Amino acid sequence: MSDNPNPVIYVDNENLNSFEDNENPFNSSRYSIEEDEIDLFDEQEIFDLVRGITDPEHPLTLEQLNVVRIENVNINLQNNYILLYFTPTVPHCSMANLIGLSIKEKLSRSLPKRFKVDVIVTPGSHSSESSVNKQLNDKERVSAALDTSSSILTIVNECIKQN
Amino acid sequence: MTSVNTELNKWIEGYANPQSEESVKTNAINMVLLYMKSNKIDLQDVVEGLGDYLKNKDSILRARGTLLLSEILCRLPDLPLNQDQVHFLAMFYCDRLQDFACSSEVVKGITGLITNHTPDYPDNQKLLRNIFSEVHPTSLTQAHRKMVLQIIDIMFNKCLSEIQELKNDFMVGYLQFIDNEKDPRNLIFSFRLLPKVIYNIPEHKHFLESLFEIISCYFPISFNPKGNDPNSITKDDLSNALLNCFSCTPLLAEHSIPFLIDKICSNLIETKIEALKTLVYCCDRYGGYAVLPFLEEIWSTLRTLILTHKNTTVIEESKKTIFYLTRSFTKERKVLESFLSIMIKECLHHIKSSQDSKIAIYCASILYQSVSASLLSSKIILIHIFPNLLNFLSELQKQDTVQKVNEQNSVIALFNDLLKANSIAFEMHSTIKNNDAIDQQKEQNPLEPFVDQLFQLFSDLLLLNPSSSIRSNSIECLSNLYISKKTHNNDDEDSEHSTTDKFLLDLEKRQTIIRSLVSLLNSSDNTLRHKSLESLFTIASNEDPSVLNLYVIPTLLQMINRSSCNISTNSNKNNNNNSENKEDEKNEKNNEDIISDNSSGNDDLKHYLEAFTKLCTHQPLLESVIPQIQVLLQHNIKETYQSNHDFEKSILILQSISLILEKSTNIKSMTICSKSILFPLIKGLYKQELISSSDNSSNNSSSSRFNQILTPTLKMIHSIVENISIESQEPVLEKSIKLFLNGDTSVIGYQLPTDTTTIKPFEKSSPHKYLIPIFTTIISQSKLDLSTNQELKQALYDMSLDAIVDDSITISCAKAYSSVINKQKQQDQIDFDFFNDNLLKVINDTTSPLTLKLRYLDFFTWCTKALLTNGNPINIQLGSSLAEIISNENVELSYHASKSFAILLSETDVLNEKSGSIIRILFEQKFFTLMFPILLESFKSSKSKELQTISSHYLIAISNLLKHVPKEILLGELNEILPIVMQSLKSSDNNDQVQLLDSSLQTLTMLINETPSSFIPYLDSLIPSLIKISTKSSKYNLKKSALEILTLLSKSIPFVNLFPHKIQVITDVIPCLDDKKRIVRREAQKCRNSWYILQK
Repeated sequence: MSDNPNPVIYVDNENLNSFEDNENPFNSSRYSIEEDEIDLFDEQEIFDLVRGITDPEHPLTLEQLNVVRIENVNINLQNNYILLYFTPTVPHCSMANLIGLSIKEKLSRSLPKRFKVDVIVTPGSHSSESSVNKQLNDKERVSAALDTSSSILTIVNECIKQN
Repeated sequence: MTSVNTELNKWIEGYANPQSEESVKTNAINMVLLYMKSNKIDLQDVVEGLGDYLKNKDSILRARGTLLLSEILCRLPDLPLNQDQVHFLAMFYCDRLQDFACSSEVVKGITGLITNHTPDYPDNQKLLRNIFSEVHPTSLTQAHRKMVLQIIDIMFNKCLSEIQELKNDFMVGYLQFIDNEKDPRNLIFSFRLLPKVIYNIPEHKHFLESLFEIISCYFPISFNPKGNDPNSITKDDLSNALLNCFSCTPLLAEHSIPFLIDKICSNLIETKIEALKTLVYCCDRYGGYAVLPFLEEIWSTLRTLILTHKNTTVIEESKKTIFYLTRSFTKERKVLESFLSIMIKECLHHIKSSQDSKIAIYCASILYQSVSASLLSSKIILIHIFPNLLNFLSELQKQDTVQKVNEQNSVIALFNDLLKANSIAFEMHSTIKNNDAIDQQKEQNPLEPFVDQLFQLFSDLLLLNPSSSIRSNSIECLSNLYISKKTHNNDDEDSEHSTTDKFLLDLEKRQTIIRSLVSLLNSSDNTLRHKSLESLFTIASNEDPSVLNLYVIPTLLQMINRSSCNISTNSNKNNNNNSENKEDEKNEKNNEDIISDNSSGNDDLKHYLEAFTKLCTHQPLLESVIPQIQVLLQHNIKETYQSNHDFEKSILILQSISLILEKSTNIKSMTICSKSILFPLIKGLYKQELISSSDNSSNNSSSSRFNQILTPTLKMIHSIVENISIESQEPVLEKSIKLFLNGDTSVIGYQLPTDTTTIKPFEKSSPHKYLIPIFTTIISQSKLDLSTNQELKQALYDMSLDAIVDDSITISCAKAYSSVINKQKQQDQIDFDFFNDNLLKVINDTTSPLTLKLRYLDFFTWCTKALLTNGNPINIQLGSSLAEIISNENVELSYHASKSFAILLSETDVLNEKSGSIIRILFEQKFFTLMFPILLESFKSSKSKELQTISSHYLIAISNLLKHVPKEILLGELNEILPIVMQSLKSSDNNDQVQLLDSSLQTLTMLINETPSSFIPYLDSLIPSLIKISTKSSKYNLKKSALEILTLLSKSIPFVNLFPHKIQVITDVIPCLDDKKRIVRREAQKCRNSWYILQK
């Protein structure tokens, strides 16, 4: 049985769609047109990468569940450092590790290697915050979890897969 | 006599001797048969001649002898035998069954004997008994085993009672014969025979268990027939035959249902689905009472599948199973009740205890399935569920926290589902009744007892509840409640009667619903607004237009007028109200309420227009509001606009009207439009044009206004003329020609201002050329042949080639001209020289100015399109001339010509079926097969001559052509196309090749979308080229397209073929993740993620 059968939904589908429309290339100021212009990485771009990840328990996205928010994405371009906080839906959520792992993996697949990415539980939002953080930022444990033979990889892929 | 006998003996010897040549044997048996047929010898002679062989100690000779006799019986159906002889032969074969060495020959003989003759009682019995006791099925070949089954089948048909006397013995022998059969040819026969056995031999009851054991081992059938199988037995044949065995007697239920449940729990998805389907079929055939003991087990299995299984097909199939089972149980009320009671109890429990989670959603879908299955099931479920849900909801409402909002919402969503399901059940019931032609029993809608309570509940929720999602769900519930019918609609009779009380809700309540929905149409909450509009549309499609004209339409129109004029003076407002003469005072009050809290602005207008447009897509309603549309048009094409704002609103209104008309294809309503709207509209446009052309000197604003008005109105004219019949078109065309060519403005009742003499748009110096598109739109849609009107043709021709006039006008004339020559009856009068002398000369003449050349080229392109659409034989000549122009040294002209290939085969608003054009069947294919080699050749030659620009233009032409060619043709030419495209990918992106690369990438995208599998052999070179472009190219557009294609490949080609490239793609696109362009990064991450998660 899931830990939180009744999550509150924050963003409805319709608004999400209208957001997607804004992403439409050339239609939006976010995509420069001149060949020489440079688009720098920004919070919105990082957020766009993780917003569509789905929760392992619900057919809902992390954005809809308010697990990730654009305010909780920090990017430091000088130091090539990205810090992302995520907020589990309930403090005892046993899926926190898995959600964190999905975010981390999605970012590592989607961002250039020069960035160091830290994914951390929003302080005070989870009962075993430190252990989750420790697990997520331990390289060896992460790579063991995402070994090709691991069943966790299947779940993570399922979460990352976007429709 | 003796000579015949000697010969007979010779043949017998020849046939029976195992050492004889095959041809000798065949000849011998044929001669015997021929002689017997012509009565030269009879059976007795043969038996006597055989004498020795039949008793020979050598088993091979004995078998050959028996075979000769058996062949005679099989191959001579008309052999004259008396009953004694038949009896004799039967006894002979009975005896011979004990002879192990010739059992197959004997079986064959028996088959012949009983097929062509009828042995007396009890010979048949004896024969069968002996076969069962003496012949071992495994000793026979497939063909002979099948013969035994055939013998049984024939005996069933010929002497059933005799066989029935065998009772248990028959069953024992029969079971032994069908056991362990593996050959599909025999199996299918055996499966088909089994129901007959069960039907005819009552003793099968004692053998059910072993019988089921024998047949169940074949389930589920896994059989892959060979392609060249002459018997052409398919898996489906076998499955269906087996299914019939499973379902042939209700007594099997005891064995089959637990067996099937076990199979449903199997790990294989195919088995699960097959078992579910079998279960449904069997339960339906067995009847409810046979299934009664297993209901609980069936339910729990299905429930577990739906609630816990991961595969969506399995879940869907299980839901369907519930639907069909419920429907089939409807025949036995008691069974249905017990099945549903288990279901209701459990579903209610889940819904109450685990709100909002997947489980509750699945339970709701289970209920949906079973409610929609039949009227009776709907009745039973609704009576149980509704009071429960209503109580539950009111409990939830008392404890109002954020969590509970979600719970309430899902209960309301469940209500909505059940309302929908009930409507399905109710509709279906009426169609079944109608089909059976039983006189209509007025079956009550199961919803009836609850209707008032539900209405109250949803109305309250809509009005009072603060949560927008609950309100939007209530809207949907209300609309579903609204369209719930009271009685079955029998459209033919008393249709007038049925409109008054066909709905469960009375008119007053229905109007209340409509009013609250209309009031939400300008809600600032998008979800609510969309929901209410959708619901209104659902209502409109079910309700009588007259009811809608009571409130919805007048209010909407008033709101539209109001918001369009709310900056104007009060006098205007009065004017508007006059147009709404239909509305009564009561409505007026309501309107005031809405208006008072209505803030002005374009948004409101847009919302009302959206609503009006959407509702008018319902044809019967549209018909009734045409007069109102006419008024709207008159009000919004006016001489003076008070401000830009005022003008913008009018444009919005015109756009909506054009949308309404575009969506309508109904001849009737369009004919009304052509009579009442068309010419007043043209008159309005004339006035506008006059204002703008006289105003031209001072500023440009009025002419741009005219253009803005023109765009939507042209669309209106297009849809009206396009959809009316040829008879109604005639007067329209006649009038238009008078008006535009002769300048006769009296046909539209237009009094020219004193300072203007005539308006003849086609005159060379006419200032009114912007009116021309109105005319060309009408001409292009004409279903009549106008080619005899030389004046018209000349006018269009001259205007198309006028370099000073605006493109939009020349192109519209070219289209109209092409449409006229397309419909010309005497196609042979059109000759290539005309185009060559008049057009091509100018185009190829180096001295003529470019703008003029382009005009000629456009005109030429449209004419080519017209003639290739109707299959005129000169089309290929025209096409090749167009291809030649690509090699012209003027880059712009060459590029323009290559682009024009897109026009040739694409769908346009003219030269299509609706505009009455002559369309030659498969003209695209014909043109493509002739044109493609020409283009390809030119491409190759220009490439070899290092003419980069021109070769890229040829490639553009080719890909433009490819876009519109049917897939089958494309596949045929793929061998030619692919290498070119692949080669062009390798070209560098220097300035002159960017276009080539770009068009190759576009062609590639299109080809992969069409036929992904043809790219499998090319992956080895394709993927590196794409990666190279995406990382090395200097143009971000090219990078983006290359990455998009890589993503597309990952989604459209099978895993096995992609896997070898996975690592390469994932590693090699990394540089793109750090591209300076965000759009490239976005595509790169999409591509990389997609390649990470390749689907097996």
